[in-house]
Amino acid sequence: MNLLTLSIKNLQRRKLRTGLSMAGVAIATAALFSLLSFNTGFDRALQEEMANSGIHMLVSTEGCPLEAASLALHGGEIPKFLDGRRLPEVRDVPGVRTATGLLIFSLIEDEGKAIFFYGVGDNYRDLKPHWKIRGEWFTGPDSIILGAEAARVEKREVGDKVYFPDIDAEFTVSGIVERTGSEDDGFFFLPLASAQKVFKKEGKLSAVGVSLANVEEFDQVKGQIETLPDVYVVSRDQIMQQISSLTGSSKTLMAAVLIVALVVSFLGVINTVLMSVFEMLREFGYMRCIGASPNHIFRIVLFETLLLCLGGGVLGAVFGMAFASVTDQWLHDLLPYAPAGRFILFDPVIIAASILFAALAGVLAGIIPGLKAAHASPMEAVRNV
Amino acid sequence: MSDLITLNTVSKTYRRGREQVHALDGVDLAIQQGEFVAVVGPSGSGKSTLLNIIGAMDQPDTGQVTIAGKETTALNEKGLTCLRADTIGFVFQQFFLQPTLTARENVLLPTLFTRQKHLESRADELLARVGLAERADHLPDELSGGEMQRVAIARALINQPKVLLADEPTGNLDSQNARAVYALLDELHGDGLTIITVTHSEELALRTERRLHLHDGRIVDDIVLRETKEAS
Repeated sequence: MNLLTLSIKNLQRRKLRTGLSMAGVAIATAALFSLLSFNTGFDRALQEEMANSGIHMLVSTEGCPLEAASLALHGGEIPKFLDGRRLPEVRDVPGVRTATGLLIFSLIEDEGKAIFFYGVGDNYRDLKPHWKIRGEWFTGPDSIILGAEAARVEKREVGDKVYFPDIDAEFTVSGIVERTGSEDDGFFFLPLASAQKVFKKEGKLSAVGVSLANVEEFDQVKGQIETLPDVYVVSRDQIMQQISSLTGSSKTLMAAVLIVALVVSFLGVINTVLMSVFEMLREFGYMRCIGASPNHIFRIVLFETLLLCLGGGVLGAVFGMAFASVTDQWLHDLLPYAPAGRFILFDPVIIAASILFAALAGVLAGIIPGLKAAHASPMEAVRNV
Repeated sequence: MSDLITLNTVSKTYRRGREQVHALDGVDLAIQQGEFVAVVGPSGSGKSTLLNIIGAMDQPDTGQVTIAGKETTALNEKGLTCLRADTIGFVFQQFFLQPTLTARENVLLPTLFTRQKHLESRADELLARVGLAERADHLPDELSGGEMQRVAIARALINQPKVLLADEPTGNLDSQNARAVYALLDELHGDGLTIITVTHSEELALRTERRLHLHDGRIVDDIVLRETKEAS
């Protein structure tokens, strides 16, 4: 038996109180783990999505070009349109490898869920070299390509017909893009001309996606495109920054909630251990009688809080991982423009950091009760007998 | 026989509201090694204060206290802690057993705070000595009051103290269990242990060799009931 065992046994004396305090720490640690994972996971997922888009820059029209570009990449209807004559002009700019017209529209289904239509040119394929299409590329003006998730939700297979009553149009599924883990999975791709016709925007584009032959020539190409009338050029990095800033307020809110949770849990641990110290003051007094020094008593209490927080920290990290998919889904639903990839992945560094933080909180939380207990005099044993 | 404990004109005053209470008033006392002493007197007479000062739990306002050759008033906190750990065993009316520790672990508790380690066999010997060999692995709530007090006595003895201080050791026990504790104290005294007990029990007081009667913080009677055995 040693002081640590004694601390463990003390914690066992009040199982319910210990359990509740540990649960409080576990919840706070799970929240901390989720937030830390989210912060790194969001940026990683966004970078992957941007890389998968194959687009180095987007050409849109006046208004809010950054938001337009974000919407173009990520799903969303852009209220302003670019003159379709800009597409061949952009294509002709030296250094442009591929330029493809995009026309984006959304329809709101009965359940209130938006479905996104992407009118894309044939060379859109060049921007998506990683796509694996079950079936074929567009076979005609009435063909449609579905993202994997869109096909699953609509319960359609290659060759099936799909009818959209809101626009009174029927298409035949020519291909289904195998799951990419990006927003593409949820989109409905139409031939550009068909989309322009169906949505009555002949000669109009939402944006032009540009892939460069050499990324190092970015500034020169951008400069040349910007000489064209009524165009704004937005880079991939700017889009990423824009999306990140759009989620900034949500991140701040989550951080604020987390700080409150951490403080409440921290105070809860102090309260629990302090209550226990007050209850055990006479026992500590007796321990002083039988040779315990203030340092011994301080260590007993400190071990208790450390164990409480360490236990809660480990539990919290386990909970955080166990409920990662639920948290992931919730964050995707909550955040505007959330990239499709997983935010919360198994990351030993984040797990270790969360547990370490809980342990550190345990040490800090133990100081006040520890000092209180350490000051117990041997006389406490005979006080108020 | 040498003096184990000496008190020279020891006084202790407490403040209770505006009133000053003279718990001890110029007490002189010498207790020899191997003595079995009962401290008796009415409530508030200073019995417990005397025991607390002898146990180095409390310090006098004036006077000198020497225990096993060490003057307590000259010791710092660390010195007092060592003195309590090495020289004195404490038994209180409340047993102060840790409810989640077995009887054996409770007996071993003081060794957590001293350099003495691996005293498991001694703990078992002591439990056998107090008649609880079979109950070593039981938790306190599985023991009777008398058994708990006997565990507390075994715990007080684990560090081989020179003196056992017992403050109302049978105060919480029925007569049958109290008698078992009296018998145990007799036995320990028979082995040469110095025992000082504060008690209201006439039966326990009659078993001792010397009775100190306190009144208003003064020893008003110091009666030697029988001579301390030289052999012990």
